Amino acid sequence: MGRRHTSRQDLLPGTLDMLILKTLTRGVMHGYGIAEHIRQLSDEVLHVEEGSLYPALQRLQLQGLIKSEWGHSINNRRARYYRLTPAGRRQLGQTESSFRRLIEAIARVMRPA
Amino acid sequence: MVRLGVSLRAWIQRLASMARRDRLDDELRDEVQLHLELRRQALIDDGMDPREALGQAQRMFGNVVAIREETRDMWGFPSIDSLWQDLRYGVRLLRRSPMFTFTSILSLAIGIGASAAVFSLADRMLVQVLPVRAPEELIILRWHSGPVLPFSSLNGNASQNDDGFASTSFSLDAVRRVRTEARPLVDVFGFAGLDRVNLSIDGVADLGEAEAVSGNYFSVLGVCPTRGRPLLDADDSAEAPPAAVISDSLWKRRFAGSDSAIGGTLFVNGAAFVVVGVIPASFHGTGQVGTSPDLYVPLASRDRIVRFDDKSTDVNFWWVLMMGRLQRDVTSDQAQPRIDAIVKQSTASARPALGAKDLPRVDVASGARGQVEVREGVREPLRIMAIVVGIVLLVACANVASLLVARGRARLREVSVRIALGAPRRRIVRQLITEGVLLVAGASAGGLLAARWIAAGLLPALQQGPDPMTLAAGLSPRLIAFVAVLASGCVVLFALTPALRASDVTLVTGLHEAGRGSSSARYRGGLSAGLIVVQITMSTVLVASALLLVRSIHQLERVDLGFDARHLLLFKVDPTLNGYQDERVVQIYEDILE
Repeated sequence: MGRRHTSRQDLLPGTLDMLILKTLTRGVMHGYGIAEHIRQLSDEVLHVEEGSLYPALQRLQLQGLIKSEWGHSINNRRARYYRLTPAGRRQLGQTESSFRRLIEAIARVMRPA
Repeated sequence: MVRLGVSLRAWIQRLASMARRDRLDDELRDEVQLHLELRRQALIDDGMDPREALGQAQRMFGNVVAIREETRDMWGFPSIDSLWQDLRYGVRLLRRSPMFTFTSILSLAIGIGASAAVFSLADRMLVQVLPVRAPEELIILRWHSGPVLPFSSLNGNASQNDDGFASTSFSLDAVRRVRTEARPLVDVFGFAGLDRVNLSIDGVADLGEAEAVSGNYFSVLGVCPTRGRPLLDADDSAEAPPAAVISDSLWKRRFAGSDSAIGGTLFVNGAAFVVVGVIPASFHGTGQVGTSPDLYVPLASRDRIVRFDDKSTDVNFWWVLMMGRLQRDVTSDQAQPRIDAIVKQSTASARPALGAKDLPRVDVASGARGQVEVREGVREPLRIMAIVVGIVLLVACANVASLLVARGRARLREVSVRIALGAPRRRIVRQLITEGVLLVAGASAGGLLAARWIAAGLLPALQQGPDPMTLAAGLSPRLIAFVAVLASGCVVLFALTPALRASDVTLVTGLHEAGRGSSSARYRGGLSAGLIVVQITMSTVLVASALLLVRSIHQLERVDLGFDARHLLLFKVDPTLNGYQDERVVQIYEDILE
């Protein structure tokens, strides 16, 4: 059949948003920069279909968690830069802690008996 | 509170972005462009062949069209927005195949129009209540008697079976007694149709329907005249100057809707009446369904209009119908014994010879819809009509469904291409259903327009007596709601399955088969076969019943009259209505013969 959303299935639900927010704590970035950052930091383990980043960025923007403005990239191309809003920062704190609890819980279960 | 704020802001942003969606789309395109460019550069820097780099970058990015679609849906109101797209696309496609569109809309319009017509008739005749104040408080009185007649003559509706008689007509005496004696329980009024009368206004004669009503008729019903005053108790006596209230339609027809109608004179069967008021167009009296009196006169003036009949005050002449409004907190079961007793009393004093068991028993029925006999009579024919038009509609749906299935096959390539370009299946289904909705919308509009005429055509089939019925036809909110529900049902019936089928395309076979310009015979064989079976079955039933109907009408027309009916014209002149008597009537007939 037509499309595949393998990338989505590769990530836990909701993690993409969290990864984007976390990445943006480092400062203002454009879409490609965010994708590249996630790819490199995760040693290419997290396979994000790069295109799915953009709907996620739109969604976060509509939720008021990030903001964007147009600027110029290093090689003087017009690029849209995203930044974290205070609401986005709060949201990240919440999801981070609940994510950590989830990971710890999974780790406890998976610990060799 | 915070959530509310967030979602509110999201909505405002959506609204704002709806307005500048083209710009947003351009921005997204630029963004994606930049992304692909940067990725390609990075890949080349990593040592990839520049010729392969762009392709690899695109593969890493994913489906650009789908992502743009997804993002766009987020900006606006995806349903409204893409619905508009679907609609425009659907209209374009339907215009491209006018034969298909015309056939589908026509057959659906016939089905929907006929259903709407039967619905509006049933609604008018069986459902709608009188347009008066609190119609649920109204009651109508009926009586049953044994085989011995409790009257000497009767005007109105009566039925006779082995056990005896039943009717809704009472003597004027009974009505007056119930009105005065049962007042604490129920406010009773009387009325009686006077049939066809000769209406003469400014010397121009015309046939009309007159209704005699008691003086409290309009006040108990709560019908206020739009002009002038209603009939009052003061009008309902033999000494009062003869007054009449006219219908809105007569007022517009014969008085040109002028205020000067009030106080004007009209002649009913030659007797002068002064017009005192005009009643609202919505009110058609409390008589049988399908009747619509042109004027209302007091019960007491009946004998001025109907001359060669029993005197209206004769206690053994039963001609007045009785309805009433229950007083506050009185149930019809509480009122019934009292009314029954009063009517028995009146009958017993008029016919002392009657035994107690021969006196009429009065029972009480809901008067919310006025007089009931015709309503009960049309119930069965209406049910048969409903079944027939239901079958017609089903056949129409099956017709269109099989056309759609055939079209679905022809559109295999289009659908496959759209899926290949990243359209989700539900979008394809919605597109196909939108086309169905367009067809039904067109058909509903046509059907609603046609319903009026179809209803007028069906009306004579429901006629119970010699007088043609008139029903004020028109669009009611209920009718429109019914057609909307019906139309949605039709869409589900004929569009949903073909749409699901057509969109269920395996991409490779779809493109492949469509590319060859053929489709294998086994493809969707089952559905079309099923539809054809349904169609043939229904059509057979329809054709059979239509043939039977035509045949019986044909035989009626072929009855040998015993004379040559060609070039003969039938007409009727009734000078007695205007009071011509004996020799003068003969004289008039002789004049006409010459």
